[in-house]
Amino acid sequence: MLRFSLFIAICVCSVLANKRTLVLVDNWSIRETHSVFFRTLRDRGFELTFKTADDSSLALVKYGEFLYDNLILFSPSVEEFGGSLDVAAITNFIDGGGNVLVAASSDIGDPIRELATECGVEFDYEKTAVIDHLNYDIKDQGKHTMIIADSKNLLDAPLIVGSKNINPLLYRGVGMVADPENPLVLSVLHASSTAYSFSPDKAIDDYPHAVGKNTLLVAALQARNNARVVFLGSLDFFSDEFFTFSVQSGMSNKQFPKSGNEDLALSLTQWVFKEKGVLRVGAVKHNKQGEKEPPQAYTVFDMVDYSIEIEELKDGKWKPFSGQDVQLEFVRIDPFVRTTLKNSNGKFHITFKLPDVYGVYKFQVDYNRVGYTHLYSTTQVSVRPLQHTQYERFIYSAYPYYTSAFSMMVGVCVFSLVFLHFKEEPKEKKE
Amino acid sequence: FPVGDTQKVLSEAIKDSVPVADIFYAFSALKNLGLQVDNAKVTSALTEALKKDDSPQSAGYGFFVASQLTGDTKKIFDSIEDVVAQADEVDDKYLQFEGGLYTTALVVDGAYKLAAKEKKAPTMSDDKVVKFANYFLSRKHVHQLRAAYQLVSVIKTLTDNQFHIPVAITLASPVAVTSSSPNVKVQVTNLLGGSIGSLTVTADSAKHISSEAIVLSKKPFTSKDSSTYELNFMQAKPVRGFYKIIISAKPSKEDKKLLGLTGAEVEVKVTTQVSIENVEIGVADKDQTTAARTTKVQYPGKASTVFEADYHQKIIVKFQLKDKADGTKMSAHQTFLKLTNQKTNQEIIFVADAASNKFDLDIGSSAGQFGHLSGKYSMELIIGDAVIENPFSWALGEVNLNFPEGQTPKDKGLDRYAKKPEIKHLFREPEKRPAAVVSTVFTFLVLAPVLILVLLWMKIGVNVSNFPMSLSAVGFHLCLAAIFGLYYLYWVELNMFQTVRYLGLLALPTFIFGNRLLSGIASKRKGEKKV
Repeated sequence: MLRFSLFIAICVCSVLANKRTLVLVDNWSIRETHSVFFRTLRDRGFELTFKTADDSSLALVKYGEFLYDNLILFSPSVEEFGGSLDVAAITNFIDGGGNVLVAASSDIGDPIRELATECGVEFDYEKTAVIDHLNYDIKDQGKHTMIIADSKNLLDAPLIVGSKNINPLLYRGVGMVADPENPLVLSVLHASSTAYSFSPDKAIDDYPHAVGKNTLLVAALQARNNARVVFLGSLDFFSDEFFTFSVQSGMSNKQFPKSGNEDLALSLTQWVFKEKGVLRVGAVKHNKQGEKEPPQAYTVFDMVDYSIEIEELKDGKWKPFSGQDVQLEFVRIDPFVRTTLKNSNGKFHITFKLPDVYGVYKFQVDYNRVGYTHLYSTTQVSVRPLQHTQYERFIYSAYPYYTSAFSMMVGVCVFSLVFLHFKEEPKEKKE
Repeated sequence: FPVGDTQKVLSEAIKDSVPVADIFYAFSALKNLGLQVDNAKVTSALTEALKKDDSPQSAGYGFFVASQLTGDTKKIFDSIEDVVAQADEVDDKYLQFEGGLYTTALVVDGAYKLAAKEKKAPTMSDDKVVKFANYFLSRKHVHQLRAAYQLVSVIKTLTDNQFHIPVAITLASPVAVTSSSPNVKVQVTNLLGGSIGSLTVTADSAKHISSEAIVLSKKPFTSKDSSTYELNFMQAKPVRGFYKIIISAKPSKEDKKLLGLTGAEVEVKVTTQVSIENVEIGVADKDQTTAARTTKVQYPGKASTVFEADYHQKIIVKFQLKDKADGTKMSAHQTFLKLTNQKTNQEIIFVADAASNKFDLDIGSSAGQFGHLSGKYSMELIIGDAVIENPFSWALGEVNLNFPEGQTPKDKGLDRYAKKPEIKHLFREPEKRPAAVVSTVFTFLVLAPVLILVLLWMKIGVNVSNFPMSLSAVGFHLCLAAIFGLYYLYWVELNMFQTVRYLGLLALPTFIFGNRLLSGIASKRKGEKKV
């Protein structure tokens, strides 16, 4: 009985393994204004803990272990986090593999801006907004800050944004820019070319923080340890209102009955909380063609079979990965061979000929694609040169040498016979 | 339906030690079934439970129960003030309890029902009531069923109770007021949107937000129907911009219950159409201030010639914005010039000088922004503002930019997410071998010495007559032959290790036999000599 209950407890723990989520809000009304968003998260099995951002009992770490797997920051205007939480603690959380979803607004405070800068994204100052005089919604309050973002401005990454075929999106908030040199930041949704980020009440006297397509509305980052962080400049993007509003541009007559916000929010949360786009490596096997077990060391010119099993997390279950572009590299400091692996239902395999250079090599699979976790598998093997018996034995050009050697041997045999046992004829005695 | 049992069960449920919610449900069930209720018992149980649990939610339940009790509920009524003090103020506009919409609506609804019973106004200041009302109105988009029910209930209470009726003055027309739609409409209603009788609604003042100019004062609204009032705002010839209108309403019949009748603020913006004139585009040398030759373009046309500019020149674009309504010069919030590289679709945006409405594009110094990519760029002028009704992005023309050669754009570097190029190892070519003819010829040549040896031996006469016929002799020669045979086998199929092993085995007898043979021959020779 005890063992059974222990087993159940372990099962439950493993199911909730990466679903413990801390949600920080500015005030409790956000819990109700965004109730649809939180309800869909709860329906997907997430264990949400709500706290205000300046709650003095906040802690992400206890006794060296993380208390949560995911963090949702819906507290744009927080001036100082409470408890033991601060920007350094949150970056530490990301370094430890935790995922973070951050929503800002025009009332953005310094901690959120600092956190974003740590992750390679820069928010504009507070009291600024993304303004688009040619793409605003008709429900805008007058400053053209409630803008419509067309779904064609989304990144081409179905793992992160889902289908691009969704209704236009409503957005009201602050804009951000990403460093173009930073290779890890993805601009998931950018504004149209006529948009810019500035304070709507001040005249433009110097270059705005972001103009045109450089203005990012949604930015994502997958850190090198596969932790995922998503930044949105609009907390209202997730509100129940925006989910259900119809979209009509103030400049044209096109109308859509429902915004695409809910669809995009679903896809983003599926990606950022590691429900989609997660890969893992199963068994790695390598052996000489025709054999079952790997030898102690391969020899140059061998034909080698290599296979690796890759699984993808789909709907909470590990299913065989269906990618067609996984490559294998055979590396001794530099790659000597790079081929694309053939996929047969999740088992990727290839047969190839080892190079004629001996040394210590690695079978390396380094799979890095937008939206997927970084897959890296390396197996070290040695490749030895040919044994002295594996060279050609009968080289036609060397026949002169063979014949000279053997003729010498025959000659020695015969000569030794003759030399040792030669009997001289007695010389005729001269008279 | 066995009434007797139910009565017993429900009455027993109301005890001194049960939570307030239970008392509420049991009491309501009894009342709804029309059954007998022991008022004194309920009162005592309620006071006990409220003492133990003073959260706002249980206070709300308590108010409901108390409002239907006969007897002294004054203490519970007095606690309304303390409970309301527990509410949190948000954004200076809303008042809510931590439990959210359901709890807040429950408390306010219960308080008014109890006040109706006590025939005394609940101890809540007017602005607190207004803030509660604001909160309820902001939560119109509630999705939870239980909270929705309570919200509807409290809104109804706030529209027809005897003490406080908050009045909502809201803008009923679009925010933008233009010459084509010059009227500002407001709705003066109770919280459910129903009329509150006939009122005179006056705009106390309308202030331009940035210039603080007062455009009108004490202008009455005309009544369109029982709750909508209209004012022609454009009659005052307001300048474009944002305005704050302060409205007050006076009921024709004095009614102390109505709250929020004065000081209501409504924001509108007066928009206008913009026209762009005197647009000049020119290319000048870096040090000049004005271009020698400029091309004039009319909106929405395009410049007919393609401009040419290189890195020691600058592009100058001048324009003037005019308000179509009164012809005055105006400025716009967004005056951008966008250059799009026609091949790579890269966009580079420049901001005009706001005061002079002029772009001064120094090609040389902004080369970095263009990535040093020479080529044809299309120019677009983007004009937009919150008060402009017709913002536009106008293609002005095309320009050919020439950047100095040699500064090649930075190599974009390998896209880390793309498939890497395949590498096939190039195996070393084996060395070329000489023609087979050469090997054959030399093989035969190599055999020549053997032939010569045999020939010469035959010539000088050779024999092995002295063969001792002893074990050693035979053995030695056999072993020697065997060793050479081993070498042949090594060449054909053995490896080094096997060969060395066999060689070791063969070496011993060869040595012994050879030694004995030679010593035998040596002694024979000595013997011969002696003789």
